[in-house]
Amino acid sequence: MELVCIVCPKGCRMSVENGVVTGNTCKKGEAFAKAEETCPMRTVCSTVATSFPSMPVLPVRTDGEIPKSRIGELMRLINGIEVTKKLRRGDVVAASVVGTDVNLIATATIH
Amino acid sequence: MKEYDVIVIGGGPAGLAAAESACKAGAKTAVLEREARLGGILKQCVHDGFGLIRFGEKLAGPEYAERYIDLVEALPVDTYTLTFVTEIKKEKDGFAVTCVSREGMLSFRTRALVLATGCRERTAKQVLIQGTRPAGVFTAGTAQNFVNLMGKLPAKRCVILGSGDIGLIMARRLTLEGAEVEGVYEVKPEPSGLTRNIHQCLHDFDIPLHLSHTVTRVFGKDRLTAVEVAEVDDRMRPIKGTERVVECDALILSVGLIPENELAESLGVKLDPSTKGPECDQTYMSTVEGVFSAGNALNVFDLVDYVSECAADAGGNAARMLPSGECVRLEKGKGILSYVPHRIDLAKPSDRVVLFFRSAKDMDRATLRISADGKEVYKKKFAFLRPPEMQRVEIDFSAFGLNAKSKLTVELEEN
Repeated sequence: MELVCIVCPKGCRMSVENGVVTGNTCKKGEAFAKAEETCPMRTVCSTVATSFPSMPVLPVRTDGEIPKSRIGELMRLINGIEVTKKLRRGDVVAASVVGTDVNLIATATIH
Repeated sequence: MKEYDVIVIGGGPAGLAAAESACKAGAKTAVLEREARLGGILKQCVHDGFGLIRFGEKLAGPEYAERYIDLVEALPVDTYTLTFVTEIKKEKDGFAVTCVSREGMLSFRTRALVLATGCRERTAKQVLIQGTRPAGVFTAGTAQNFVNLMGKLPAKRCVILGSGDIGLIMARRLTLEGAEVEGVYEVKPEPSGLTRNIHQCLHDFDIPLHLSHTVTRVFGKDRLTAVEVAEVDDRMRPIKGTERVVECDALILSVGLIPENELAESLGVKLDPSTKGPECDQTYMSTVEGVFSAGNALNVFDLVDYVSECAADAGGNAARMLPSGECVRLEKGKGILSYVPHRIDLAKPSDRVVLFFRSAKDMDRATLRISADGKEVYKKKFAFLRPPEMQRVEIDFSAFGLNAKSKLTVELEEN
């Protein structure tokens, strides 16, 4: 399988065959390539609704990676959330999402 | 009238980094920002990938911005929001800056200026699309503002013209929010955005990328109802018979960014036609003494980390205001699309000059070469270069024995 690394902006072009990775220039790239062949993982960034007119949506992201196949399920969860507290950057918006130990965290502060 | 050593215009990532380092270098510093909040465009860039170089972490845009806002707010920097600069006048030993704000007109005096005004998007008016003028045609940044700041979905089914990074990011974002992205159309035979964004924004969501295609016409009276797309030939002219009508309610444009330099031009700053930003020396000083340029106003960067780095240097240098001396121009040789800085000032330190450059075309294995008076003084090999992916190298120009008459050239050779 031919692929482009998304770990860092360098964008190494790699290939994986039977679990052997070539073209990577770091360990993270190798791990990424192996995961792409078995269970691709992604960080998901989005926004959730708030009850504050000055900031109608709050940007959020997962604090780790979730399986790519669960992104749709996570988006359904995200679209059902309304934040009513003045959260700060880094605060947990939803804990242990879509059956993982990954949390959804705020990436901005509501003032 | 308030007096400062350094006034930074623009409170985005470049302006914040410039203000931080100007203040730390001992300058009385102010930031002028036209929006209500600091942070610039990062406020709406909710995707991650920011900060890997600067913070060693993959942050979302607002997180990166807030970290810099925290750094600046901890310092004695004066920040003025909802403050719009209307005029800058060169005076003896400094500049007079006039602004409008909620308090009325404000006047400042400063010894040095850092222009960190960012860039704006090329619009539909600048890409010549035939047809009616319905609602529903907007830039990727506008779509991003709707979705990520206002929480409104501006399209049900859209076509994206241009494969710039913001367009790719928005293709993914709109898909996640439940809109259908029919396809991304790019007039050039190669994508304009970063390869990793093609992969994680388009391939991950099975969004088709049509290279050598463009939008030739828009349809719709009040709201966009469809666009016509066509394949283009090697001179980017639509090929007759390849037209196809695509029903959609939005056409999103990601067709390039233009550095915003009206204030720089009003001061007589010389611009480089390839970067569309000010020509600068290794301290990021423009052709006008005391006027520095930073971030996307200088040169459209791919990475905010490099914006911060260049702006921090510009801010520190604006605070120090080293006396200028004789300069050697860095001439553009073959294979190079654009680069900064444009000249080396021999009176200023040049032992650790950061050179940012883009290649003129895709190159597998290339050598960056700098020659002084026809003699090679520096070379570095690259595995692959693409014009959308800016490169950064650190070069010790002080080792090249330069004098005011030296002829300095930078070029790229394919191996």
